[in-house]
Amino acid sequence: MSEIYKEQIASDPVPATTRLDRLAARKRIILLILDVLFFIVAFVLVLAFCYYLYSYRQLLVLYLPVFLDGLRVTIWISLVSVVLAIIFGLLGAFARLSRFAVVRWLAMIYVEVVRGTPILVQLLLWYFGFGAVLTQMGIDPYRIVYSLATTLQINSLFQDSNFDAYLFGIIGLSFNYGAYLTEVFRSGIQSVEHGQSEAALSLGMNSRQIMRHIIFPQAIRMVIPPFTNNFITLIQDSALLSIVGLEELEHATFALALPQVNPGNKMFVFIFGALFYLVICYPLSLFAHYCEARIAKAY
Amino acid sequence: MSVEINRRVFVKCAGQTTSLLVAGGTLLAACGGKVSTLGSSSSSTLQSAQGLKQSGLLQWGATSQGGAPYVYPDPSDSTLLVGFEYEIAVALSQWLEIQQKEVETDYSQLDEALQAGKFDVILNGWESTTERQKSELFTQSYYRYGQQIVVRANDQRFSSRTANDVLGLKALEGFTVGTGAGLKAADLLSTDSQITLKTYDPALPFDDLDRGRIDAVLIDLPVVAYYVLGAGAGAQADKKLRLIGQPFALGDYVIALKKAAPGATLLLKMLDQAITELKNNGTLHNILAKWQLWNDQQASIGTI
Amino acid sequence: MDLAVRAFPAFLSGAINTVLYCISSFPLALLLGLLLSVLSNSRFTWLRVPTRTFIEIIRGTPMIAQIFILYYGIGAILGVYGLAGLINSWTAGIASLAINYAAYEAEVFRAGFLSVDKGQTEAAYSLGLTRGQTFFRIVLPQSIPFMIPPFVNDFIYMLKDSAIVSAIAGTELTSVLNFWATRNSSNPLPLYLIAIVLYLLMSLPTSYVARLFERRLRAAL
Repeated sequence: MSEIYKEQIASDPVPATTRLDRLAARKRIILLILDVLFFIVAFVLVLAFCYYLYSYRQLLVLYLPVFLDGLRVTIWISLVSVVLAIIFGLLGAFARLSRFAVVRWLAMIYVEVVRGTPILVQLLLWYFGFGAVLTQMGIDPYRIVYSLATTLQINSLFQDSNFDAYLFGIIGLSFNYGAYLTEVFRSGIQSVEHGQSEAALSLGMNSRQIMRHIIFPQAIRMVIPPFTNNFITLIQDSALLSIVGLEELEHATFALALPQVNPGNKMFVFIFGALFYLVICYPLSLFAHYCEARIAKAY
Repeated sequence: MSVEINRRVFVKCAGQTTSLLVAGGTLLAACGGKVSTLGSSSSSTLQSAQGLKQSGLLQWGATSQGGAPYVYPDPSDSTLLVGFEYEIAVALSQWLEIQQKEVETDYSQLDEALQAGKFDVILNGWESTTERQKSELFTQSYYRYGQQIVVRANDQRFSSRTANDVLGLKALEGFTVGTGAGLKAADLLSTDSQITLKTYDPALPFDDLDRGRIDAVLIDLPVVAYYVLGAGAGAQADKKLRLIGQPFALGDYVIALKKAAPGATLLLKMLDQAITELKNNGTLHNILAKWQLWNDQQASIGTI
Repeated sequence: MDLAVRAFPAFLSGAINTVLYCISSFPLALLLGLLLSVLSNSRFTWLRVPTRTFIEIIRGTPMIAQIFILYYGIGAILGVYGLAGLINSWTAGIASLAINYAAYEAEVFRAGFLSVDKGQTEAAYSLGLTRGQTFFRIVLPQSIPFMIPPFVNDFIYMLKDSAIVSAIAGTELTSVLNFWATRNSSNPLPLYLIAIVLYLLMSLPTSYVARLFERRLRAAL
């Protein structure tokens, strides 16, 4: 039976291509051409940017140490602040969803006041206000931490005379971002369907187990994009700590850019400084996308 | 069975936490080390007899951000500082036979930081005002400065004015004038309602003046000397702009000390002595001439 | 106290400028952000990759660099063509704020669309709705309650961030505050208090109204 079938196919003429087939083929070719064009254009743009950097290479090499120093300060400030901000945010979110009305109100006041006032004013209040209060009471945080570090034999890490600026700057920054993260975490927790916790209750779990096993994993998926947004904003906002005298990346950019009289040089220094920020933030957001993709696979 | 599961979970968690702590501890121990001498401390009990926070070190507050030509990073080695005020600080400390260190502070927070005791003196184009006299002590002037008008060289509306005319705010009426935010010029310009004021923060308005977005710039003479006349390391003369009128609204740059600091009067006397010496032996003249800041007005404060 | 009375009109006009900047740029940012998030999900590489790169660059660089590049860089290019009047502190400020916040809003939109149950899109396709119809009638409306808190966060943030326009000679509440605070450095407290009160007056009603919307939308769905 199959031999006859094969003979028939072999003797049949080649079927004519339909109009639809030809249109589809043309569409695929056009898209392919667009893709190739896009890659060529992208490649040319990247080359042009590299050439732009190359044409300013003397300035680049000259200013690199200052920028790297500023980068170090910025990374250090951002890392510590984000960890503290997550702690503040989690506490705030749980307080906002608490059973007790007083706790809920306190959390809401924290969020509204901290979000509603400029972060610069808050930083100055922490550094000059709270710092002055501590000095009046005779407490010097630097001496306390330094003596603690001496007993632990690591006091060479704390030789910086800027310790107060670091301490109050980081506290102020993380206190501010804790308020924004409170809202992010709260909306993430509330976005998990109520049916999930009802089912968990009916299975006999208590509220702590529900939070840990059911809500938290699902909430994390919702929380990652706005949290990454806030983390990136925090890195940009660490630039504000120059007001308490810390020489971080934006301070370095301005200190090197403003004395430039040639507008081309000035623009280059700004772009170069912005590039350093990109170098911190771009891998961060790539990592966040990767985390999202991995968590999404679980569902 | 649930009890056994819990024990397993507990042991696992405890093991993870301990290993984390041990790793963190070894990391810290590896990075840090013991240093026997105490670094500079911000405690107020360390005041020395000279009135300095740390004896043998004059800590002066200034900003290097946007600070040309006062204090700014050296274009040839950006980890060092240059600037005419930096050179004055070095000269003062050399005469007093002590070290000097610039404490980087934001310009808008200089008086707050001085009151909080972050450094000994302010040396950054500071002026004595009635407001500030309540909480600060001032030395004698080391530079008599004025506000300078800068316009485009090809601007026909100012073609009749020269650099030697004696002009005032009236010459700018009806124009859009730019200056830096928080500067004395901003204050001055806001008193005249016929002048449209534009303040720039943190950049300076010379770019906009070049492009024609504003008509004139009124700003402190040292800034003009750097950006327009091209005086100082890394500066370039801007041929498109020119100065008109002599500097007016004269003021004095002084060094400020915290009034309530112990030993302040002693430090004030020392600094005044040092400044007089610099004026008399020509060091100050040389520094100012190098930065094209010298003019006839300096003789009135005793700088020869 | 009389300092506060003297300063108040200037502060009020600064606050009005702030509100004007934000009310003009935030809707633009939302629209542009929606466009960016749709493009970044596109099948076509030549739409997807430039959009994603644009979003990453705008989010990853400081806003002050962006506003300088817009005002001086693009301003210079437009000046060559005689269109210099197009870029002043208002237009450049609003454009820069809108572009910067659009990149952040694109991410919020993306999270919002992910938060809608995949079953909804599957059911819509099985009913024969096209991709466009599914998006505008099913996914977008359901994602809005989830996106409101981040949007409110960002609007309140923009109220403060509009201070960036002082770099290109714009006036708004923070620059007025700085101006008065440097003139009265011995007694800045009343000025800070006025500024804080004005900022709270701008942000509290926003978050109250937004919370109201969120509750009602959640109940409706």
